[in-house]
Amino acid sequence: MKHYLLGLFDDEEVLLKAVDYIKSHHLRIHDVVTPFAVHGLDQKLGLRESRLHVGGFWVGAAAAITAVSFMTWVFTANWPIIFGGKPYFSFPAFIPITFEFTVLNASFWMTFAFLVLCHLWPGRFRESLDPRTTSHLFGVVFKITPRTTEADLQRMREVLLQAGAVEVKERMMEKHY
Amino acid sequence: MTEHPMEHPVRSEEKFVMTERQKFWSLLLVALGAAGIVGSYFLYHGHEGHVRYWSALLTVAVFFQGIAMASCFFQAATYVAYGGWHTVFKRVPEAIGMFMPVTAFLLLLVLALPNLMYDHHPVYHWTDHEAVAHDPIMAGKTPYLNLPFFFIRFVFFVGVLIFLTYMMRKNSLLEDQHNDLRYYRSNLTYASLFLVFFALYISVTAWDWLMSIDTHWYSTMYGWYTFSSFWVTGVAVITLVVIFLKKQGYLSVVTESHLHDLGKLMFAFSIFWTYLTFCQFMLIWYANIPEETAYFRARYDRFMWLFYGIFLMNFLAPFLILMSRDAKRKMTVLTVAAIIIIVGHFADFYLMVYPGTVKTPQFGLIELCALVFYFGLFLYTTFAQLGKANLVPRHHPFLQESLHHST
Repeated sequence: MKHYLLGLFDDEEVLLKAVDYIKSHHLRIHDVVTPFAVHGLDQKLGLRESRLHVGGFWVGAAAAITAVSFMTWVFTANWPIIFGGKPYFSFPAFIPITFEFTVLNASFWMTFAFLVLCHLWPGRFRESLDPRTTSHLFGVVFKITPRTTEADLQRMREVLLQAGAVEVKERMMEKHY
Repeated sequence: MTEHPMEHPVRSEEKFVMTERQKFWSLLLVALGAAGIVGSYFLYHGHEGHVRYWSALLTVAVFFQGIAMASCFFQAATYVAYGGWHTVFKRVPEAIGMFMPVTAFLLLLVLALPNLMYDHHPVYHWTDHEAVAHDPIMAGKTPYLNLPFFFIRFVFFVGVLIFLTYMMRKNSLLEDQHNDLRYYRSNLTYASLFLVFFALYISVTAWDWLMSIDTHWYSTMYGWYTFSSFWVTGVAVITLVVIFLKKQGYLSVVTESHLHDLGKLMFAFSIFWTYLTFCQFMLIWYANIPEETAYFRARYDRFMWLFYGIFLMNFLAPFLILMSRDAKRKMTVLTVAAIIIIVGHFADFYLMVYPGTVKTPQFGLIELCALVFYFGLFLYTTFAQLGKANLVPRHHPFLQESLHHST
């Protein structure tokens, strides 16, 4: 069972200022949940840049090499046939297939990797911390551990309200939200 | 978006001033180039010499005409798309676009003068009446490829494009004086008209100026292939001028985000160029029909290093250099990529002209002089035009959007 404290904001400008305000009080923000991407929030929270695209590049490169070497093997060693007087190793004819295979692999594996990073795989249902954060509210999330004292909790609530939160609530979750 | 862009208010009176040194050096380049072009006329003798001389001038003239047209296209396309991101540096494509009257006039000279000086244009085989009379394929093309119609097309379409560019520039400068939205609306009309005429004419430019060199040969991909080359070179030139202005201390409102978008355009259209170039090549390679492969035979046999070189410079280099986000936001990386793209696409135009006319790879005095002349002229015209107005347009409706642009 995981325990969170959720501060809800109704404006992204207030939210951006609130993040600074909370950080100035030395409270550790666990996460921020928003209905849409808020510009500048990543930098304020100090999130590291996603490495998804780097993975995409290497998957694409591997797919390109696989496609070229497979076709080379098939058409020169395994089953050599002369097509229209062209040599066995007809590189220009391999390029369209290499291109398609590269794009297909890079996009599919990036999609799968993205779903796994979001804890979304077949059979997984994600419950949100508060359904309103998918439509019109922005939530700042604090993690509550057994070491969090009642005084800490009280301070978190106060700072959230001072920062402009319209509502503060505790939430118990079975799994990762 | 680490800082709020409004923290740098627009210096409404920011004006580009051409320094005496810039004026001196650009005019010196023009003078040296012009002297070289005139002087080397006496160095290239006989029919072969004339072919070489006019091929060099044609390649450079078409290349710079393309850069100027691409800049006008940039303005028109962003107007019609209600684009706002480019507003802070929109004076740059405007200034380069005003180079078009000059390049168009010079290109007209290169296309017309040899017809008066010799019995036919040394670059264009189809202007030789003797040869056309004995060649059924060329004779069949005379309804399109004849001198009167050739120049009617040129004067009409280039004239219309220059007129529309001039009107867009005029409205844009008036907008700076008067805070009135009607200049923007009127520019929308001119930009839409520009796109219509540009779309009609851009393939024709490729057929007339370049493809008709190899009169027997034709390719349906050629028009778009040439356009993509023009366009990606144009974006690279705009990027270089923006970076130059920033290095000089101007255009402080142009942020990494604007450069990022210019980098994206260079990256994407380098791939677009590769796609078209390869499609044209692969279909001809696959079908293997002698009439069609003759074009690539000439390029592959004697220009092999350049034939592979343009793929390296125009595809592989920009693809790998500009792939990451950080690279597109750094001025040094963008400068390197833009220079490689410009050199690569000049090589591309060289490869469209030289194998059909000069037959062997040659680069000497006349090519160098033509490039120096045009480069000097480009610098002088662009700087002079940049000095005519505020560097950041004052009353453009998308100015605030552009100042807050973040990618």
